[in-house]
Amino acid sequence: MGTEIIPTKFPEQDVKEMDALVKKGVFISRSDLIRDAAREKMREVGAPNEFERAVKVMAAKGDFSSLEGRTLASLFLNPEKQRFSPAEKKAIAKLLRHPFKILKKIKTRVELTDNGQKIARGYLKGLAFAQTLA
Amino acid sequence: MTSLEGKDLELFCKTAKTIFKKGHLTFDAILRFIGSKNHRQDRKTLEKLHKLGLIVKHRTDTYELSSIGRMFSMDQCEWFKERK
Repeated sequence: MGTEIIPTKFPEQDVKEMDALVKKGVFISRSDLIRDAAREKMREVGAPNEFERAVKVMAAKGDFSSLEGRTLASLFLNPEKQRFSPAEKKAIAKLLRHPFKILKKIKTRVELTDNGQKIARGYLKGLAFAQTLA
Repeated sequence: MTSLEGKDLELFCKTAKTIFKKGHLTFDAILRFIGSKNHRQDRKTLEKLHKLGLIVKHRTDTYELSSIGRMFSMDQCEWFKERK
């Protein structure tokens, strides 16, 4: 494998700390330390973080296009909305039966519970990030 | 109670993180990966999460986050909140 020399300036204090590590035997040389540090940084930046991984999983499973998610988000963004399409009504009926108590019905009004608001926020947060990945 | 707070929420978030990373797992595997120190108590909490519909069971006795569980974790878990 070919190599390339990259001239880089470091503050004196950093160089002193590098030399101390080399003296301790943690690294063979300054070059060894810098190569190791650069490789670690590239791995860190290149690997998806937890959030990105989760959003990708959600997108793959179709969470962002699910009717439940969209219905919750529309109720969160517009709590006054009470006219729903037949498909939304089906989703609402399902969510009203959900054991986590996501929606509540007060007379004829459908409202998000605290849990429902948290879920809707999570949906919107994930969706916003998914848009940046696309 | 249908709210999830304190230690239950903490365990849920650890479980969510593990499942996002590794896919669906058995209760024993989840407990091992999250470093559970009190298996009996934590297993009960996992059963509660299942009853609440935040995790769902597969035919192979493995558990995965439900769609609602995934959305809930995205808003409530610290490892998501840390992101600015």
